[in-house]
Amino acid sequence: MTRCTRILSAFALLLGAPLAQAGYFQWEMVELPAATGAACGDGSPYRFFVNRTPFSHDMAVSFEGGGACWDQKACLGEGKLGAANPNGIPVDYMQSPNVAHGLVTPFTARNDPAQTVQTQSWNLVFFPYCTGDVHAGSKVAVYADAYPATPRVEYHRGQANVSAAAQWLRANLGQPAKLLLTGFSAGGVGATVTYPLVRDALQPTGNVTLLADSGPLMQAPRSGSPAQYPSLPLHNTIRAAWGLDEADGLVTRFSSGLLVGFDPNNLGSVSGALALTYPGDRFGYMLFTRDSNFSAFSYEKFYPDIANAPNQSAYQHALFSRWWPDIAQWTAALDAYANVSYYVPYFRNVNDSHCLTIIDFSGTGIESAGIASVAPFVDSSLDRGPPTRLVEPENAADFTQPLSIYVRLFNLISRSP
Amino acid sequence: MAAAAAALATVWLWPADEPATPARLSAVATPPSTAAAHGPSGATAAPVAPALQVAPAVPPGISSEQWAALQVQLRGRPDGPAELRRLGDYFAWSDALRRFREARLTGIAATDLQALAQTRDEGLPERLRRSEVTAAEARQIESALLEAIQPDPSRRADQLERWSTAHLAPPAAVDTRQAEFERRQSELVAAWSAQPAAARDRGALARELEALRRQSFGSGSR
Repeated sequence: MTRCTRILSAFALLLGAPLAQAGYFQWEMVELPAATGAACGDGSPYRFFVNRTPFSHDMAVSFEGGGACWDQKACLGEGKLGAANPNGIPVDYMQSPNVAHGLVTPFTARNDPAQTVQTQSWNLVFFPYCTGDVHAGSKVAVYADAYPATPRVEYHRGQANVSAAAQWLRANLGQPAKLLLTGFSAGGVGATVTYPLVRDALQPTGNVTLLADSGPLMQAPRSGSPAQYPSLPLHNTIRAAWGLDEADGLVTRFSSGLLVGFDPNNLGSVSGALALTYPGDRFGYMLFTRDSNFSAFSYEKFYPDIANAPNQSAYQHALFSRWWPDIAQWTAALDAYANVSYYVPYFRNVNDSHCLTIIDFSGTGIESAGIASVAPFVDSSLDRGPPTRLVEPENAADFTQPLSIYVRLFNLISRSP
Repeated sequence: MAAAAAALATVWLWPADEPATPARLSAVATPPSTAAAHGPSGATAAPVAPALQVAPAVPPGISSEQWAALQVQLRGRPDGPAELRRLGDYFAWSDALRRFREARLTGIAATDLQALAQTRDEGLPERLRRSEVTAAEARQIESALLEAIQPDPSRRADQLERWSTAHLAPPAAVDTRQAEFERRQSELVAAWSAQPAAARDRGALARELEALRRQSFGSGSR
């Protein structure tokens, strides 16, 4: 089968999907045909959502976050690091209080009362997260480690979902002008690693930008040790669990010419390879220095001194003694690329200081640099301002900084029994 | 059959392959459904519908050119007049919310802010029902409006809770195909697990599961 025939067949398959019949400025659901390989973790159909505008050809694609899994309990959504949406994505997901854990991001809210961003007037696309694989996997796994009598079949189909959704968007919305890929947490990782799939399918005619929030791919060369590269055990685990090295896995595809300069022995090389492959694009990465959620996800299941820490102080010490060196090596690697920006404030008292672009941007400033919030970083990335490279020094004032009513409300609700 | 599918795909893709330039777009970007129905050059036979018999005033928040172009675009659609009314309502509501947000930032009389909030509050359930806002977005909007309407924080929290209970529906019922799929999937996995460990072929199981999934969920019906 020729490449051309394969592409046409793929598009023809997608024509079987329900077509956009909702009006402008409405969230419409698209269920991808099973034959595309798209699926949620429980095998149910993958659904994503589109909110079109007739006034723009620009497009902002947001990847939902929510944990990850490589064992049965986490794939069932159990535990604090469990994967989101283990029972799939309902047709009315956007009308459900559960969408994105009830969190708003300005990138999917046209009428956000708290935060304006320029992409709110663009075509908006939302990729829900239901595969436990940071939107990256290509493997069907059977997990029976927790409940042997009732194994969990997990369809780690993130890559197929994103590919099929991108092809649907191209077939039904055409080439965008500007394109933004963004996501928070696992969605930040997903937006990063599937960037070439979406970008190549959509072939935008204008500026293309990545804004990956709190989903860093840390440096972790396999020739090193966990003491040198604390994310190495995580990377080795997910490569096997999610089929990244299999014939159609992302690592294999990156190495086969999809990305220039990708080192298959270092997942952390993806960010640099993206910058080299798409020199005209802009890549922006964000996270908090005191993020105790993604750091827990990265290390807790691999280092007994974290999991068995006798108290909160010891736990945080064990966590951050790995997270902070990881951040330092990560930013040092990113410094090599002219089209890469990063923005790392110290702390925000919500969601374990995890994610800058959820709820609103309050509490995301780097005061020592005279920056009140992450908003200028977002605008500068989209508008091709000078690359920003900022890491806020330790700032105790962040612990007591005033936050918006929306952030306070979220804290109130999330702490309620 | 394959050739027909490929031809259909080619026709469908053609409009999208041309970059959308401002010159082609005029005031409104060409919607995919219109492009597909009329073909890339509008040459495909399509009944020419009379102009819509509605000429409502330009809603706030958009230009008269944009509104006129929208009317042209919806011409001929059976639901065109209703869709225009919906869009007009949406634009008006969205623009008032924008003014509310700006008023909070710049500061206006509390009574004026409350009046503005009250009108937006009344329109919010309809916006949610029509999928024009997400549930999380709606709750955030409601909390902003309540802050202007209800000065007492504890009463405000109660009101938000009541509003959420009344307007944010729980997720829809699970897909009816799922239960049967899971039953048959369990049978496949049980049969595979019953084999001696050395005989278990993960690739074969994956292929069987995929075949079952495709059989169960077909071609993307909702």
